[in-house]
Amino acid sequence: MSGEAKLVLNDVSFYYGDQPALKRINLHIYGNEILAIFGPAMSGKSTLLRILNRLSDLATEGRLEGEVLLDGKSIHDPDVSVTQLRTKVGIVFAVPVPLPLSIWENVTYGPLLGGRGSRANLDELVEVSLKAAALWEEVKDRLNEPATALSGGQQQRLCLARVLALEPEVILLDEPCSGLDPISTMKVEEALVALKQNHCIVIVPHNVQQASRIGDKAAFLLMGELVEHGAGKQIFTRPQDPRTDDYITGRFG
Amino acid sequence: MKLPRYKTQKIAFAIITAAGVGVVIPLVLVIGYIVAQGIGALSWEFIFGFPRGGMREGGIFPALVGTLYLTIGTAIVSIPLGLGAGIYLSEYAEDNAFTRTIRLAIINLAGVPSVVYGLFGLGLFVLFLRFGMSIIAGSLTLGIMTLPVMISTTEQALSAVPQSFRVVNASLGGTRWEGIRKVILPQALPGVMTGVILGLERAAGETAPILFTVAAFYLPRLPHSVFDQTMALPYHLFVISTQVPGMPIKIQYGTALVLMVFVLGMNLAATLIRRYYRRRRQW
Amino acid sequence: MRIPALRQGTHWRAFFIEQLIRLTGVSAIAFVLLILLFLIKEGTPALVEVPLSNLVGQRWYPTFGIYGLLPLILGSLLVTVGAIAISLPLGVATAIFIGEIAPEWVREILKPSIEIIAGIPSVVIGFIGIQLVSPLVRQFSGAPTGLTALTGVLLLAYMALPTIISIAEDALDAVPQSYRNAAYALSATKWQTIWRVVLPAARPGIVTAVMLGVGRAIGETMTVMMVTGNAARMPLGFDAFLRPVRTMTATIAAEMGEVARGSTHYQVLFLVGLVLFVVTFVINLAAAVAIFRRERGGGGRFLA
Repeated sequence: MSGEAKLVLNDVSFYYGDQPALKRINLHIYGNEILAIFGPAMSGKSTLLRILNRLSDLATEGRLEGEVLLDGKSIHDPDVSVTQLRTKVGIVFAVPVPLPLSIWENVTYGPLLGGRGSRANLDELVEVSLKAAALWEEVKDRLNEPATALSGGQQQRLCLARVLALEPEVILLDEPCSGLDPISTMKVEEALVALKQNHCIVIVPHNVQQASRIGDKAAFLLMGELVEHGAGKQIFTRPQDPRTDDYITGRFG
Repeated sequence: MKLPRYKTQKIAFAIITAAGVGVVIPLVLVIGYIVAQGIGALSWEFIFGFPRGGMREGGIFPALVGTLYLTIGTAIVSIPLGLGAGIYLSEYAEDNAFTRTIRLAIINLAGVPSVVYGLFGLGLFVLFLRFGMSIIAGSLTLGIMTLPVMISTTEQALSAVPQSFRVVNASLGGTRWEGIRKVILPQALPGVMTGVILGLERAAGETAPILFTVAAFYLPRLPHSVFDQTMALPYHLFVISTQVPGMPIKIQYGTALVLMVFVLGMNLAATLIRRYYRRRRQW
Repeated sequence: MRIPALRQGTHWRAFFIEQLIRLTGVSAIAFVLLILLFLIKEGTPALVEVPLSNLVGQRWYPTFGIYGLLPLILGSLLVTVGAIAISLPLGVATAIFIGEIAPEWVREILKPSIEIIAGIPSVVIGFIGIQLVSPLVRQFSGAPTGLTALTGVLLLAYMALPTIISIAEDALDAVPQSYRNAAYALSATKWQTIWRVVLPAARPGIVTAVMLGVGRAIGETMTVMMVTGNAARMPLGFDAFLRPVRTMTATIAAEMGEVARGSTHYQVLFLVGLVLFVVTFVINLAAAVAIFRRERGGGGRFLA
């Protein structure tokens, strides 16, 4: 656990048109650990994730207030390259979207952008990324086959490998295991626990159980408001806010 | 027990079915007749020979070549512009009044009568820019005429590609153009190709735009440069069926047949491409 | 492995390409304006040269300096109205057939066939008109020649058919299934549902279809030039359809080749072109607005 926060949100609010999605969020996110952001549906969790790598810029009606710092520097500084930011802060979505290319081409898609990297030294990167995503064994013999031929769980791990190939510093995951069978879910969770040694991981789990399983830190988001956050163990056993307690114990969902 | 309303339905459906089926009948008759009457004229000499004897004998080679040149010329003019505008509308344009104006302009370009394009081509390319009646004037005229089709089919093909691919591209650090170049455009290519072929097919069959911009009644040689005039199949058919007395019927039908084969061949190619890639699509 | 400088390099190229693409997008507007500009440039001098009383005259004898536009305008109108009168019911009926009644295998044959009809070059249709349709018209109507307005009407109707069919088809398709289900639930027969529920609901779309069909028919050149006899006379009287007639489009196509550049005749022909441009512009504008109101973005489905 490093002393300096990797990502800092200062008074961050986000609006879709006039509708507030996030209300004055203040949060420090640290490297080498997993932060689980949980809460009921439509609380702004996905929005929060997308703000961290400025994928929120794609929402034409979106408006951000406050600042987001990566390694102490605002990600909205004019000299920050958005495309480069997204290689440092990668994201895995809830629904796996394999590109209509081969497995190999999917994994190398990111590294080949911007004209960097030649095809030659990418094979090693592909292997490393697929191994870290716990997919290598299953696909090593068919890297040139279309990625769409993989099963749902495999596709999701492919998406994780795709992000890992960029050698990011932060990995964001938005309900990565929703729709996956328990075995695939377990593989993904194991991969994440291994990855946290070298990355800062922020995950929106699809249920509270997953949050408590892998979350070193946890944050409870309710209707755009950050109700409470802290060490995972503490939040899930002795939450301080009654709303957190109600949600965890299932009084509302 | 037959209720009166079921009787009404029976009659109505009979009429409608007759209409639906009847619509195809003239098509079949037309094609059948042209094939039957024209196929006798087809020969090596007909396709590759020059017209002789006041065009009452010989072949249609220069017209065929001319149409080929004009089609290529149209492609050169309309494909880059059409593709570019289609990409712009699908991937870059915001939803504002300016974009709506562009779309309106395209719809209106599509509705302009072909003879008015001919006038425009005459006024701008032949006279004002002094190209004279030439392949370049004809190609530019046909090219602008074909633009709306190219733009709209490109835009449709691009819009059909799932939005999620664009989001993934952005999330992996790709610029908008990189995403278009690497994923979106390749996926839209079959649709774009179909649209291009259909657009060119239309241009190949048009007469009015080339009447005052390039079409020649008779040329003893093939054109040398883009500033030359040329003969063209549709104009040739028009001429030999209305302006030349004593034209053998067989040659008229033969010319019509060749033009139909040219046009329908492109139609078939477009359909086949569309079918083939539909099956192989990964989304 | 990652070099920031390389990123900046790509930025420049991407920027350049993106600007180029933006430029092509604007080109459509540029061309519309350009066309309008040239028609005005070459055509409005006619308004100066030729007194208005001449232009609205009933006789078109350019060689004598008489430029009455009425016979041409009425000629276009007659042929267009006649064509739509045929192709509207026929087109809507076919659209109903395709959309509501025909089995899948029939549809598979019918739809490509209609696309093929749309693809037949107008000069070929004109040719067939001369060879096949015109003699028939002469035989069955007793007209002196087969080159009449009627012949043009028949051919134009067939040419406008694909446009009307495809847009009417879309309009029928857009009617929510729930409307039909509601009617069935009230024990309506299929025909009653179509006639009393679906068709009325699809009316705006069908009106659009008619507008675009009209645009198509008014703008048609070669076919009418080849079969309507090209007599620029006022198409009045009960036998108007059985007499030759001339449209605006055919006039331009037939006479432009013979005029001297810059002459009055030349300018009047450009004026006719301007009239055509404005008429089709208005029709397409109305249709486009109607389409935009119902579906946001695009509307270009009807172009290809």
